[in-house]
Amino acid sequence: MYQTAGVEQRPTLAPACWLSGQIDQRTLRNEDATAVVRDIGAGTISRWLLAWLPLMQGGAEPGIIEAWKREARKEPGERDRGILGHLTLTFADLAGGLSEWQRGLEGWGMVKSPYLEQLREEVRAEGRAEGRAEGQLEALRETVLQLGRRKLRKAAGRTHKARLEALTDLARLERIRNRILEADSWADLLDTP
Amino acid sequence: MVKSPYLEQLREEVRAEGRAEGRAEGRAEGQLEALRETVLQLGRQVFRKAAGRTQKARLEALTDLARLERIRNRILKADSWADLLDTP
Repeated sequence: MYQTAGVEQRPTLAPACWLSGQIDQRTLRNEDATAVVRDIGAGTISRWLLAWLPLMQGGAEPGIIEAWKREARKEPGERDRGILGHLTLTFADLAGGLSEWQRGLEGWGMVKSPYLEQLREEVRAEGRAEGRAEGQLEALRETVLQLGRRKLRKAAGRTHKARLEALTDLARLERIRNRILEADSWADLLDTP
Repeated sequence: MVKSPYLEQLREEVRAEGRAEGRAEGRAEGQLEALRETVLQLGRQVFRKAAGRTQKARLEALTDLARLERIRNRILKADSWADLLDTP
């Protein structure tokens, strides 16, 4: 089950200093998911190995998914539970067992992932800037329609509304708004450069 | 960075949700800003007097879009800044 390899580094500049180590390579597809989850439960191996269960033998079986949930619930931090959940689904996807795991983890609390929350905040800022411009345009168009009707004693016709709707230049809409009191017709108002 | 359709889908969902949330927040902010500025600009023309510091502060504190719209719609009828800003 293990493949091993040694590593050794001896820098020529300081031969008295050297580093050596041994690497054990484990092939997860040969591991038994039931045994791993049992060892996690017994506390002899790290709970973070739960994320690799989908890659192991029997890793998409309902009993394993239930055992995953039982053990994952013991993780005290919501953030860590979220990371564990997303990692597990990522590996489940790579192992071709995503639908079983998604079904199994449905409703399981793993909503927070720092990476995804950061991504959400980044796009939220972009969306906010777009939304602000849209909101300003909408409010200005509506202002021109409302106050223009009161000042000119006549609602804007279809053509005027269409002209107004087509305007996306905020500065020009502001100039139109600022001329509402002096304009003497819809055409005059909307001709504001 | 791990590439997987699951992660891609998740990222897309989060992107779409975040953008929609931000857009809705920004839209409301933009409407409020434009309405406050409208009241200041047109109020100055109608009353031949710019809003004072207290009136600006009252306007700045307003976050009720519907009330700001009612204030805007009364600009041509109101006879003073105080009257205008007292619009319920």
